[in-house]
Amino acid sequence: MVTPLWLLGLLGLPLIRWLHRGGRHRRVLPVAFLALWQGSAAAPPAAGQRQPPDPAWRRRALLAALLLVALAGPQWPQQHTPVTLWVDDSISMLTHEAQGTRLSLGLAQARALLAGVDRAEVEVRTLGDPWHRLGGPGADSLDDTTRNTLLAGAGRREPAAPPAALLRGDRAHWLLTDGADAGVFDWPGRRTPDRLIQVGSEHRNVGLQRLSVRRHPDDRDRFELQLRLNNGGDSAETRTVLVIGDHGELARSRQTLAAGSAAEVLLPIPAVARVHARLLPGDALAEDDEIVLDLAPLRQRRVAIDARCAAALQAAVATHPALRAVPAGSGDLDLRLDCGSGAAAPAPATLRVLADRLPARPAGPLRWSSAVAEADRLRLDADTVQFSARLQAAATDQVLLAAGDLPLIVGRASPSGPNRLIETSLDFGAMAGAGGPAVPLLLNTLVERLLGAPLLDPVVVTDRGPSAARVRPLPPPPAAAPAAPVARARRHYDATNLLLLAAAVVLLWEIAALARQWRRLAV
Amino acid sequence: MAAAALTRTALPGEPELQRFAHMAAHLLVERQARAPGARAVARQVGVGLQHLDHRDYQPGDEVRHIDWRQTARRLKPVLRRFEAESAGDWTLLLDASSSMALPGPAPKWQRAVTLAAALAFALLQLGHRVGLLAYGTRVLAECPRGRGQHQYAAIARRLGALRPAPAGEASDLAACANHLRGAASVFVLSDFLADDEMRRDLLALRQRCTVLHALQLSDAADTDLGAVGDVDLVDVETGARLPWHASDGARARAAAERATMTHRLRSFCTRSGMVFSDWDGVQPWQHALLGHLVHARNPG
Repeated sequence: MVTPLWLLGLLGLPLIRWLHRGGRHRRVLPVAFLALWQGSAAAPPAAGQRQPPDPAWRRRALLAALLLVALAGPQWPQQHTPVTLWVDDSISMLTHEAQGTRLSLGLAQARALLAGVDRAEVEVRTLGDPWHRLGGPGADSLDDTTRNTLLAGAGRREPAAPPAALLRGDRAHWLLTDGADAGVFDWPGRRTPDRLIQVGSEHRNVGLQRLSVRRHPDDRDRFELQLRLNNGGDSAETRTVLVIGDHGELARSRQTLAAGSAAEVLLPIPAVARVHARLLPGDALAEDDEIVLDLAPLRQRRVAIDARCAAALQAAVATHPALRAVPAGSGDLDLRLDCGSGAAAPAPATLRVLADRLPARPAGPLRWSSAVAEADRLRLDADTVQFSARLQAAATDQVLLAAGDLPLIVGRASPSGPNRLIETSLDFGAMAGAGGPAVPLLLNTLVERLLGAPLLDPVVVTDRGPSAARVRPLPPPPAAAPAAPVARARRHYDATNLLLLAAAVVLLWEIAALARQWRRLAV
Repeated sequence: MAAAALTRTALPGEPELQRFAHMAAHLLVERQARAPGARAVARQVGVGLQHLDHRDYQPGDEVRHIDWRQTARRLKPVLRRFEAESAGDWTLLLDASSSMALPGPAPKWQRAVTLAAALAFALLQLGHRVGLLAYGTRVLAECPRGRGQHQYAAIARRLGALRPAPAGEASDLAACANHLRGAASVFVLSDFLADDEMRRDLLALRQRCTVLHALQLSDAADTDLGAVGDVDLVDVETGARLPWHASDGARARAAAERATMTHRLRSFCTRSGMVFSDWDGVQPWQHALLGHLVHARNPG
């Protein structure tokens, strides 16, 4: 009992019986003159003779008793065997053996072993995400749902030893692994698994560990692709790396790797939207033989340039590695550079350069807004900065650069996130005339802000880690020998919900009885 | 009369009332023989008081009506009684206790209101002065005596507005005694469900009026509850409870008790010179009322 004091309320049950001492509730009939019926009155109880109480008292007393006992929080102990099954969900567990993947074979073994444990209460956790319990508590929590969840989620995280906080002493801890990663045996506090289920015998595998792509520094229409291969087996292997783009094969390279060695392959490829690297021939672990990479962050943004824009500004766009200048009337634009002609087609983002007066030098010092990152704040030479229009900033706008109280660059408020329209009154021609990289750098800052993404030197990469290709099972540490005795524990089952359910049934019974009585009286 | 416009739907319509008044006219204007050997004499409306017979003086009688000659002859005070004028005073006493409000196949209250309206209409047609008293534990409503169509409209309005309390209102017929001013014919409409069938109250009224009519409204529902099993009976007037087990025998005993009460009341009225009849609602109200008036004319 959690709160046994509630049981004292049971002493009040006789009160319920006493309250029903008046006898059964009888139908009441109004009559014009009671004396007409005196001669046929039912025999009243004799003086001193007790009348039986209304039988409804039993039902109501039962309801009260159930509620009181439920409030007391009854629990009863039951013998069971708590087991935590730690499952190695690394990519090596997806290695195909003769009868299936290591993970499916290991789960089948674990299920067979758990079936032999009396009243097993199993919870399943993975080494990749130990804080997330997949199954249990229950007698057979290693069911098909848990199994399918494990098979679908394997290979996404690096395995590690279970955290000490989850290695509770009142549970048996079983480990299901292939032993390809020695770190899974390195349990905190020199603990060892109570039972080790080690699966796998395949020892040859070459995998793609890492694939990275960047823009070619000299050719804006090409990418550079770098691949890292790992031989996780115990023998030398030869593989052909095949790189496939949007419209077919882009490059291939043949590599021979000694056991446990790695090789890097550098391949120039044309600019494509997606790249697919594959190792040929395949091996037992197919999951690490290919990598697919989306290269969208590397694509060049289409910019429509107003013909009235300063030549320095047009040159900055033309030389920017991530921007491609297109005619003003082109569609599918990423950015519009508007210098007053209004000829360009609509675009998701607009950089508007205003010029309606003769260029003049601003009076105050140049100050960047705090909304602009420190690294993006260009050190502009105040002597070269001139403005050719007077900007007005509304309360919802964001002044990015100002000279004293004079806004020079204003981000116009937009309901769709960051500023999608930036207006500036800077005279880019004057800035270019003074020499220096101010114009292309300022253009890059403003365009990155408009597009919401970094444009210079992006690298697209996916990395599986150095141990991804290791499939060769390692021998377990000596202390992790199987057949450790399984502790039995007492578990307290809470009966509150059961009692509340019973009380609800009795309550429905009472309501039905009252409704029947009410209907009888209403006739 | 312009009764149609004023009569509530619960009251009979004017053509029906007219037909009844026509049929009852001769019963309401003719002399009512009270003494042995008396003969009926047709009277005309507007003729003055006419001596009818004698009877022994009783405390409370008008002293000026003592026949001193007969008193000297019989050596005891003898009262001279006069025939009721054709245009006399009538007071209708309507029982509005809770027992009259009980529902049933022939609701007593509806029947009593119908009788009161019909009687008032017929009497007013003949030029009588008619008043109305509705009583429970006290006089609940009063319509003073008056003549003419306006009086019927007033009585009909009052009847339409009356509603007996569904519970808690007992019958105290004696409460009307103080409201009977001057000699008059009194017509009591009640179920007479009381410990002594209201005999004591009737006797008290009898002292204050010339002729006393008692028309009992009985209802089969009074003795047939239609219930089964164990029930608690509650007197609607007193609230008293009685545990009761429904059975055919119990119903028969109740019906027998009701018949005994009716018989006792009838005998009492006969002895006391009152006109009594019982209407169980089976026959039409016209028959019940005409039968009562015929019986009043020919008590034997």
